[in-house]
Amino acid sequence: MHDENSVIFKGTTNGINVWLDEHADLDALKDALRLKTLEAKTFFEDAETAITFSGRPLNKNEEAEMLDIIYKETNLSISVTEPIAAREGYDSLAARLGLAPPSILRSRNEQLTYYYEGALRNGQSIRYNGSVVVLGDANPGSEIVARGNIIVMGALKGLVHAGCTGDAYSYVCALRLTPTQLRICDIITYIPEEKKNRNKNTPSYAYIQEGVIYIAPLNHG
Amino acid sequence: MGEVYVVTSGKGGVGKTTSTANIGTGLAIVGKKVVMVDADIGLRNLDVVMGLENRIVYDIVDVIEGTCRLKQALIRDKRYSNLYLLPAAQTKDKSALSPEQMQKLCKQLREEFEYVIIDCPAGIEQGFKNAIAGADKAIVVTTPEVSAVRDADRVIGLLEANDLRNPLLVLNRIRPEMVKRGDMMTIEDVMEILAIEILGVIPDDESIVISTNRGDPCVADDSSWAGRAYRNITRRLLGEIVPLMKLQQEKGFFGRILKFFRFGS
Repeated sequence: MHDENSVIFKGTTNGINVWLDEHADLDALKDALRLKTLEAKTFFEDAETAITFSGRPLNKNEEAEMLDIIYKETNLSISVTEPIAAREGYDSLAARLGLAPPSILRSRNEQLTYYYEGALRNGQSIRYNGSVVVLGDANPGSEIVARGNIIVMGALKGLVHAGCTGDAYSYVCALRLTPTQLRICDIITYIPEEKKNRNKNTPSYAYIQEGVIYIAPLNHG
Repeated sequence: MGEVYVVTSGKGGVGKTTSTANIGTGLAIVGKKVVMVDADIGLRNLDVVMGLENRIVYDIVDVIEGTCRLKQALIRDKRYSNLYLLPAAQTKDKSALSPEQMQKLCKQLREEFEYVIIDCPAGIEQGFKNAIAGADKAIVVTTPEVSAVRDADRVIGLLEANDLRNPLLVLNRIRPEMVKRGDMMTIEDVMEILAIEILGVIPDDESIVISTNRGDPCVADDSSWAGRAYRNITRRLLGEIVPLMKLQQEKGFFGRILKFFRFGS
């Protein structure tokens, strides 16, 4: 049994704060969270937001489980989660040192990866707030846009955009790197037809150096 | 309970209707009870290709709207008594049908027929959604052109999203001479992109044009090369293992002698 008020969503300038009743038991909280999320689903739509938890302290596993519920029920892309206590501690420290409070919308490139199994076909697209791994081909006409890196374990023939929110350290890697168009950060390029044949059988990656996209075979590390 | 196949392609003019007519007729020749459904409302063609245009009284929209019973709209083929056609309406458009109505219709048809073959309209809009709604298997037709293969790829993605997994591929209008010269995509080139099971390869053959205009599917014509390819497709659909046809035509007696001596030396 769960109490209707054991979970409360609060909108803050930094995203959504989920308050959890300290006295409720974890399973009841999960049920309540699922219900609350479903109710708020249309409100959330596919916004990009940060989520923090307050109230009942959660360990890493519990936090992951809670996030999983929100992930499953909504199309939210969640950019960061931090226990609010830690953040407040930091804030007060920052305030003492006269620094601006840190932005909670910190990118989680390294943490979040989306795995897609199978061929990504013409007209299909993946947009993800993190890195993307495709276990299969990405055919011409497909689109992968990621905030982090893009790795295609197959032939990459569609359009890719790594580091789409401005991360110039993002890279694109594929067993056959022959995209229709290649974008990293805000640089757009394409591979000329005659060079595509050269890339055919060498797993390669593309990265930015001094404002130019370079392509190198993987074995050159 | 019969099987419902939808013949689709995305791009227009690659041979959906011709393939539907030939596969349907091919299955009827070996004695299966078959119905072909023209889902291309407003641009119906299957009746023309089958040479049954002058027999249409009721059509698919009449059946859906309840103007007539299903039996009244089914047209029996003039050559094979176990082959039927449910024609499309010509004066309506795709919005005259809904996917749910199509599912209901297919359910009715599969109770009576061993094979239901649906001819899908070009495109990926309403007409496509209607045509695939009641199907449990899909046949994707493409030609060895980049644009047709792209569209086929798109359609395969959409089919999979609608739970029509593992579609079968018909590669139409291959010209062996051009492939040999390197001017046309090879079967392998097409398969590399689409990566689905191949049901058959149809050579580009004048006999298709002739038989289509005459309203007499070439699958019944023993002398037609394309007809032979469609007969192979029929056999594969029935579960037989038939190797892909050699696309290089025999060079005649003299050519074979020449080849023999070259190999000998």
